[in-house]
Amino acid sequence: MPALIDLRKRIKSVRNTQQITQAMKSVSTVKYQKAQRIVLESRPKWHDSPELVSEAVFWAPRFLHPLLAKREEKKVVGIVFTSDKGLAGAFNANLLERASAFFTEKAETSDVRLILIGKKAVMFFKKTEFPVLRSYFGQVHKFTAEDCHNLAQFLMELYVLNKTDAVYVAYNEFKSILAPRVVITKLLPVEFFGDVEKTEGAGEKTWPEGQRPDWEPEALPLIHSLLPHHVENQMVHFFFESSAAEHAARMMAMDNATKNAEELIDDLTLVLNKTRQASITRELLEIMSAVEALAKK
Amino acid sequence: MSETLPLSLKLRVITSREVLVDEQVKEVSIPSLEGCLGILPGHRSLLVALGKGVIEYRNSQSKKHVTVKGGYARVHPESVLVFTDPDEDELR
Repeated sequence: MPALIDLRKRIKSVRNTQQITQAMKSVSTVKYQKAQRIVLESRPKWHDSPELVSEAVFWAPRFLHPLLAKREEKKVVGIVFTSDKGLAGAFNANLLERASAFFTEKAETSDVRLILIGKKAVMFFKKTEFPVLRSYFGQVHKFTAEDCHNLAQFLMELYVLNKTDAVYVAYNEFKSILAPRVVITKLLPVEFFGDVEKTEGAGEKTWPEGQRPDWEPEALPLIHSLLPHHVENQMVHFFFESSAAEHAARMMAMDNATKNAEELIDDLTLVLNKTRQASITRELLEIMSAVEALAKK
Repeated sequence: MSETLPLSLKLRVITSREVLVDEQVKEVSIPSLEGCLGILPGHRSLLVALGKGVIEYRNSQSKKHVTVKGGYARVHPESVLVFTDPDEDELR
């Protein structure tokens, strides 16, 4: 039978842990609400502008802009968006598993280099043989839209200078509060946008010849300004989706932890009470038997 | 074209922060880089870069406008999709 004092100590320590998880939950709730607002406000643009770009890209001649040129995928750059901090359930684990499987497959036919965002990705890919171009270690919370733009510029430069033939991005999409969705998508060359794994084989979306659009002004300047703008926009999109998903995942994980701690405290309290009662009963019995023994004398 | 022309346009004006306009309109005018483009239902497909100016649109009851700066628009015979940003200088 466990000693009362040990049980009390355990209950106290579980209660402390519960307070910590509760506090962490409150913090991520606030962060989550902020991130969710950004995502919900900006989603119409993120989800609808690929439609415009896909159409422009479909009609534009392939040679018009270097970002449109399709090349055989010999050199691939992969970007992985994770978080810096853990305690967010399977948020990072799922993504890293899928991303690593995807890039390992790519590595069979091409030369894969990675750009890693978040401590978790850096730690994970340290153990693999992929060369890393850039890594953002412990800076995710300071990441801004401007950093996304810079990163997009860097990628476009690589692409235009023939230093890479395709850029893939793996990130967590904020699907619902309960579970994020892992998405792997192609950023460059600019073509039909969508889930790589889903659209592969399905072919690109096409438009009937009768809808061939006029360009205003000419196709060249329009494509020239539209594409970089679009790529930057996509990077920002990936980052904020990932960030909202991270906070949602952490909120859920901490909520579960708080609930589990509560259950543990209930169980321990029950054991504590039983033990206490047992010791009281035992003491009473001892007194009674002592009294009876005295009475017999 | 032998098809009948649509009677109205579905206008969507989307900024990075919100959906500014989402309604059926009879007529819309958008500021391209080289001047205003008036668009009626059945307009042929068009991809436009926008300049600074005013998007004016009219449905059967009312006429409204939003001031924008830059962006892109896609015109289809039955829809107009605009990505832009509101011109903050003009906001009162």
